[in-house]
Amino acid sequence: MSQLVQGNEACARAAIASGCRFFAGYPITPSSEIGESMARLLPDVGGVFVQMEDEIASLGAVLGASLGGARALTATSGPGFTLMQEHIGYAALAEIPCVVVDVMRGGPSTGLPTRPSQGDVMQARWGTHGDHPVVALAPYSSAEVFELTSRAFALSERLRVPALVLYDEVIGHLRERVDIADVPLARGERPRPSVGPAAYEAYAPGPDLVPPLADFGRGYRFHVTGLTHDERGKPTDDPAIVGALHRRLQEKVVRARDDVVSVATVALEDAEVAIVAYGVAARAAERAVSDARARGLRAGLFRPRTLWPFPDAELRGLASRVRALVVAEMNLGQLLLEVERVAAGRTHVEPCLRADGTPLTPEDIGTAIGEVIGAAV
Amino acid sequence: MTTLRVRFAGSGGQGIAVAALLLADAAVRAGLNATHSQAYGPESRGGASKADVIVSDEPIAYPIAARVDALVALTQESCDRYRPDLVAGGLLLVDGDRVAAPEGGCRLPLVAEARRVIGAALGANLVALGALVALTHAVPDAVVERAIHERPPGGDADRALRAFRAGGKLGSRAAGEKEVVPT
Repeated sequence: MSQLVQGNEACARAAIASGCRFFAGYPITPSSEIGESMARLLPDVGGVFVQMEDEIASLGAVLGASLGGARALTATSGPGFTLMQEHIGYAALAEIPCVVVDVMRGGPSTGLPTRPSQGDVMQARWGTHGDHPVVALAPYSSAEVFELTSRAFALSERLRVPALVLYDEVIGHLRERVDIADVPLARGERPRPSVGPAAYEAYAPGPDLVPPLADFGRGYRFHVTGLTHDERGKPTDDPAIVGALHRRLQEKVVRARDDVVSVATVALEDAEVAIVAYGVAARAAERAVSDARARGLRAGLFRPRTLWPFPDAELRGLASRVRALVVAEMNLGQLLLEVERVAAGRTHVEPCLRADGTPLTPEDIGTAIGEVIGAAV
Repeated sequence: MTTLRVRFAGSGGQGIAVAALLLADAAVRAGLNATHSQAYGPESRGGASKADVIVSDEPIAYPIAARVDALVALTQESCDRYRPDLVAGGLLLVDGDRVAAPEGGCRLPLVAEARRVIGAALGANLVALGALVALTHAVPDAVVERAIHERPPGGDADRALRAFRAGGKLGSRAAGEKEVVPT
């Protein structure tokens, strides 16, 4: 049945539908409706909601719940996301599944609490120190918030990585039509040990490089640490073990890449110019593409639904056949750096950026399309 | 393609976002596409607050309305602020006792009617919604009434329906004088 659903509400409903039974968080605009919805929904399914004292503790509680066997979620915005970075690193190294939603508002610092931004894209990738794997998904509608939140749970569980869902304030607060029954739920389970407690080594990887995870309290005793560790979870600085661990953490995501990376496209077949955009900027880009086509300009849209890992291969192919890539985002050029890296001189890369607390418009992008095509706008 | 962009405006606390939400909800129930976005800034707690609804029989790509086809303004401040966004020939619906509407505006006693039928000025949002629906035929009355039943503002569906229906009567009478065609 069609329903009018807010983006943040879609996130909470997808979490429940995906088996999430634990939420810990601290309210912050523009993400608060996620916690509010979870507080309302979780008791009915026997889940637990905790309002914590801050965002550091929120993600700490989520990691504890996850080690106890629960699918667990927290949601925040830029300032809280910054506080969560330490535990995102911990989750990456200790390989604890968790889903973190960041509804982006203007930053840095307290910034613009009620205004949209896409300024957390690089923080999502590199906000925590050290090399680490991360999965970050970027929905652009209420329906897609539902779909990609579900996907974040599946990937996080299966790969034992922190999975981030990033969208802007507009998408978070927008209410629009969703046909929930038509939105696919992703499936993905954390690997469980096939051996008894005595033989269990908590960080001995399985065939896909992901170690099976036993639930705390089920008789499996193991050590979880933020220190670099061996396959039993014991701290070590042995260069061979440390190097192998770092490579495995990266490689487990690389191997699953085809299930992680997702790109949506519009009218790229004969496009001379491709817009690269995500979140509400991609909604503006869709309109800009249809307006440009109506004017006879061959424009198309390349929309990464996965920001991290970045869709290198997909974009590289496109870069070698278009005259220009227009990167439209609501920051001063973050995903732009990745697009330039992948394009590597194969085509012109034109920034179309806005960082004033208001969404990019179809006109902004239309102007950029006109400029790179050299046509009158 | 038929698309109607509606802005509800007033001062924070007048139920602007609720009226808009009911319109969007009803549109989706009627099988149309709809988006609803509201002001989240300080204006939502006073000043010139607004909520926008786009109703369309096609998918809505860009969900933000820079220009609107109909503006419902419950205060002078919100009317002055958002009137420039109204398209030429668009519907301007204002509270006739509070807003000095320009030529062509539809002035109805929205607050007074709310006071009369439910004894509270706070129902003016629903009176306005009723009038807007009667003037634009954006969605069928019966579907809005179903939406009101499902999400009763203030928890009292009967009161809300009385205000909505009273607004519908005001709007129908006014529609006799002014034909409104969605662009």
